[in-house]
Amino acid sequence: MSTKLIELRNVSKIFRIGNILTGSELLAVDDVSLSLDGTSPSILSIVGESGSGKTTLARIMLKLIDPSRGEILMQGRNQLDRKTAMSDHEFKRFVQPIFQNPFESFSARKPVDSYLYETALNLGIAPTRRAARDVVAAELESVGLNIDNVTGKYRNQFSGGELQRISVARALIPRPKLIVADEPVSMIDASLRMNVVNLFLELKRTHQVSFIYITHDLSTAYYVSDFIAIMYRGNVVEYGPAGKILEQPEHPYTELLMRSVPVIGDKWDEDVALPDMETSEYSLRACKFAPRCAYAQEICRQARPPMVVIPPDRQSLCYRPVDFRPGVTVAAEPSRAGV
Amino acid sequence: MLTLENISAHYTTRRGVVQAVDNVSLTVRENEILGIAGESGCGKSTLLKVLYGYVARPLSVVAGTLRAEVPNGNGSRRILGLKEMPKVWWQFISYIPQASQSVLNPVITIESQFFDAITRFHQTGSRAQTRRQVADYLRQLELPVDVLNAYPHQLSGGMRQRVLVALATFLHPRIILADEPTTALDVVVQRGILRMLTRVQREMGNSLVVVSHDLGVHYQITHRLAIMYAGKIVEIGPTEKVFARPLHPYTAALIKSLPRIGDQSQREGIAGAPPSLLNPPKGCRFAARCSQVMAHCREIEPPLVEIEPDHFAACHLHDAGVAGKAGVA
Repeated sequence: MSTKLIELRNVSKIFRIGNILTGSELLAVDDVSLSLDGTSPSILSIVGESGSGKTTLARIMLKLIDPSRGEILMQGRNQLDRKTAMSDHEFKRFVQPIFQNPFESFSARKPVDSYLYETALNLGIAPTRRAARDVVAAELESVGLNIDNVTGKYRNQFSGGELQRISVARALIPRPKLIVADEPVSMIDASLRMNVVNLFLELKRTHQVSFIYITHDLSTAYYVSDFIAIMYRGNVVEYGPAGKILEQPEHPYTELLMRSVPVIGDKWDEDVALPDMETSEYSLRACKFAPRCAYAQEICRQARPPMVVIPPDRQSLCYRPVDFRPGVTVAAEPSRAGV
Repeated sequence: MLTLENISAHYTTRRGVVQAVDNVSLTVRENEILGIAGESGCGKSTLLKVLYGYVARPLSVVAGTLRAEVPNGNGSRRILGLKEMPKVWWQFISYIPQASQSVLNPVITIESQFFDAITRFHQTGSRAQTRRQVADYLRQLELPVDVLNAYPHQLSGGMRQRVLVALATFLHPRIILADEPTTALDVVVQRGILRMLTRVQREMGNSLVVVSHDLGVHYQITHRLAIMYAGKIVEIGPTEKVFARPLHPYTAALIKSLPRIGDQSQREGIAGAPPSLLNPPKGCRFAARCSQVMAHCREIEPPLVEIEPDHFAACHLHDAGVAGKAGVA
């Protein structure tokens, strides 16, 4: 069995809102199992709307927060167990982050390149500042920038697209196996967005680095990913190869998303009203999408559907495939810990 | 019905004067959905503020005129200028701003917000009567009447935005301006709100001006589309034509860069970045990033001219001499 680069097993995260007496709980991530294979570099997109739990999941993977339940394994090593967890140093050489707003990633008071030097020196990638310069120059070049045009400049002297490239260059310095990018292009203008997205595809090939790309944008996810996980209200509701999932959605929520994307060249039928009202779906014990689902049956409102495997390589958190398709099996029972 | 002529609008900042909108002319026609597209900082939101007559420091209109033909109700019309626009807010023209969170008063109920807005400009009967009218209108828009008793923070982002649309359209204004009405909302909610806006426009037969950075939104709902770049309108025409045959290289490159589901072919962004509006370059402002740039593009600013019926572009590729070999990729 090959070792997974990263594997989440039944991960949940509960946030407490308000004080201990009157407060309530929010289940931001609900029993998520996901993994990324380590044999060849690949890009996994985690797609969801605001409040779907995708950023919380990214923060768990970056060990910025601990999950409330479940396990995280990196290269087979349990990260929540001190005996097997990576040291801080090892971890930073294994996984690196890229954040949403490049203007917030860099201080206004420090030259942008100082971040790159710090990463190289602090993680022991280069022993001296002179050696660090070579490393920094090489990584800036791999994102299409010349070190002479970056040296000594501050963040307001760059466009958002350039700054995000510099964030990518910084993340590449420790030569990580994995980069977790949380909405890396949502603050970037459309004309510059593809330059950053294309960079991921190129680095996957040239640097053998895998990406977890967190986004709400289905079209860039489709363009860049090998695999896509669709999140809804804390659950991964559908998982599989990018093309199959978006071209032939299996889960009714994915289907609804696809009908809502404003595609150029394919006009909406104006009279269709989609179930778009937000209700208190977080706390439902059954399928959280059932109140808005066109296919919902009695069972959907009573019990949480299982994650079912649709051969050869897809999964859907829905009763429908079990009923409608031959050869479908149950992959994982919902965690007994429950809601 | 509402016309801007050679408008320039500037922001005075500590670092200098930002020429956010530079010599722009635009007409909002009756019974149309007009889209304004462009990237952040291109001046599209500023242009919308000028259309609304909402000009306050640090923004100032340094050149040009606004002309609004406002119906008097007896068939005649009066002509208003920029400074007189606040008098006809809500009744003739209304504005749906970008952040629904910050425009609704957080400490009063939705019902009171309606009451405040309506009575300020429009004398009606008793409060109970107004409440009935508002409730009827919400039902027409398929909104739950319960929202009237709620405070803004108790509503979801999508519901707040719907309430704003209802508020802005309650007095049946002739023109509705919407600034990024669905930014930061989920796509499914977005589609619902766009449907609501287009339905209201169709039923009232008025004009809707929508500012959005999302070309997909413009493709779906607008009749006419203006593309802005660095403070200028570089192309304007019927939406279908702009997408089918973009005349400006910026429009063409922007449309081409968008990834589409079902097509995994390589897409390229546009190299470079927009110029600073503190000190914009002379000539065409897109010249530095244009793949079809010619020597005089950097010297002479191209005017916005009609290339085919109702379809205008500001680009030297369409000058008489070059027209033969033009043809924007």
